[in-house]
Amino acid sequence: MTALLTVEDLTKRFRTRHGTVKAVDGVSFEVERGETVALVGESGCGKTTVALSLLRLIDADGGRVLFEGADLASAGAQAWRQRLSIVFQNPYSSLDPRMRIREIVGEPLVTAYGLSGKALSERVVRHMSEVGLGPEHLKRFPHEFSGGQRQRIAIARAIALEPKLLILDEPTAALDVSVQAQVLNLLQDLQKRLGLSYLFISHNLATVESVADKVLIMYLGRVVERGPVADVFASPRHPYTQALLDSVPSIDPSHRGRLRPVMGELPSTLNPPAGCAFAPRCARSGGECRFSPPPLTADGVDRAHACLHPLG
Amino acid sequence: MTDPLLTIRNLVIDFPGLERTVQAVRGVDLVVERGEVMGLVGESGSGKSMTALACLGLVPPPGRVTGSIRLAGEEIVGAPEAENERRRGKMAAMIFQNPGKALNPFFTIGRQLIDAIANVRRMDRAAAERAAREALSAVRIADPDMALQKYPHQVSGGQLQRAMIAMALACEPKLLIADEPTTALDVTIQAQVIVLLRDLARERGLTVLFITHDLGVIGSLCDRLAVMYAGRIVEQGTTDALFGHPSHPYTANLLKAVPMLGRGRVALTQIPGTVPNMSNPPPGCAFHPRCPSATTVCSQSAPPTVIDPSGYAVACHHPIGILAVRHSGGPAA
Repeated sequence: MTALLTVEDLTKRFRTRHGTVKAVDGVSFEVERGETVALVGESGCGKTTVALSLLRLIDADGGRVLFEGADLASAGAQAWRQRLSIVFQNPYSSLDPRMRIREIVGEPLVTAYGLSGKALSERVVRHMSEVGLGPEHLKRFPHEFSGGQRQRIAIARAIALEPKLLILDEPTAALDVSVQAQVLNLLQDLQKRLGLSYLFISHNLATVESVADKVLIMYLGRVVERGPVADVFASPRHPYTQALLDSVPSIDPSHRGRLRPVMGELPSTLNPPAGCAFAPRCARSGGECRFSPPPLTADGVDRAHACLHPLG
Repeated sequence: MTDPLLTIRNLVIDFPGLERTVQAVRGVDLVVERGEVMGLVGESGSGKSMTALACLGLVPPPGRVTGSIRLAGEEIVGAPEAENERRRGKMAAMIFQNPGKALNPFFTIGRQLIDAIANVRRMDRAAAERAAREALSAVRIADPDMALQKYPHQVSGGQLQRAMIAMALACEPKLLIADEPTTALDVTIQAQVIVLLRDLARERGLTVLFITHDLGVIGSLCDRLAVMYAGRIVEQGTTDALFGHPSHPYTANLLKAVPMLGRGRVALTQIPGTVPNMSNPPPGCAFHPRCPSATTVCSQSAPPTVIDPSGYAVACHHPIGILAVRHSGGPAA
């Protein structure tokens, strides 16, 4: 059976006054039905550019995106967005402050199906109840809601066209800590009930561990490691994955003082290193790492890494 | 024993409005000893940043501050602005979440560092420049001479935050207040800055009040912490004791609600409801509408703060865990 989403060799370059930035450089992955794939990396690694290309909010320069085996390029943008949708990071800026909740959640239904009247309001009420919000909220404006409720509204809008895949771009990063669990649990619950697949974009490894099945670690536009979350976090092969794990501060008293930050910073995307982009910060790198970026090489069940001197 | 460096007593901060008054801080008691790294944890609106700003006399108008803040023996609350201005930088310095907004984009980092140092330490520019260079190497900036000549937009967020730390330290303050200094940084850079602050605190015996919403950051940096909720401190103790055996239901549930690396794919404990609106906080214990252990008394009276002999403090009518034993006079663990 073909995967729900297949991304092959996705590439996106941005031309700027100072030169060309390869934001996404040959990224390939699959998302199966009902699973959560996490896309992890620091700012500038290209994770959001991948998301926006999948939604065709920006046009990729190369590669193919297949949904249930059919090419994205042949489908209209409208039809495409009925299959996959997105929840953005900040529900304070992703909801139009001048629209009532009824209009926000109903807008995709009006645009895609031309629904109106009773049919429209029934659908809106249903999707609101799916995210745990009652019909009494329909006439309100976004500013009358808390951050957690706004994110629920954004989720209701995202599932209004009954997509099979949701892209979640840091969906809890802008929320209060005590509210994040509500949204994460709601997303897990919706996934089970509606059979959704998620592409979960995050820089927070702890959150990724608690929600995702598989993980892709990105660095400067390329996937450097992928595999099942539990395996990758337990025994990372790429030194960058290890560096990320070593950078997570812990509340566990036995872990105090064990923070081992990697040296240096992300290289400039305008002038990336010729070889492995992580080599300048990597304790294991040798001269051979500086020639060309190592290819992503399969290694065990469902796992792959792009490193000439892998760990473990 | 010497006096604590910072003693806050019954601090109350109100923001009167036309219709409602926002009660940002509602009676905070906090002591920071010399040489310790104290964490102040809370969510948005908990009053943690206002408490910090009050320590510098920087609560913006129309904020009304009452109570007492003694910093190295001097009272901050109600002191004339000219006196507080003289204290800033020298007595207490602050670093902020977004270093890009804390620096002026029109001037080089060097110009701003040298100005600050010359002003606070009453030095001539040549001496201030030497101090700036030393401070930049102390925060592990590889090439201080180069960094001095850069404009803020020419360096990364991590380098800027280092420059801010350098500026704060070069003024040789008694207290460093850090308000979410790593929140805007990437994971690997955040870890670098945490380790830098931890090492600087150790090497120089620096006293730090570290404000954050991130429990993990506290865990890897702070000796003690205070947890704030809705303008009050609900629990306070050593990091090990508080994370090991939280006594307040808010802290206990928060620790289970936040994903922690190493726990695997688990269902998270959900705290119902939302952070209260501080123009109309719930009566009694502000956490009671969200609390699984709440009873009638919780909605009627604010719980008093109970402090055990070790200094562990909790404000809850129904504390859980070890402090419940301490509460009833039983043996402490």
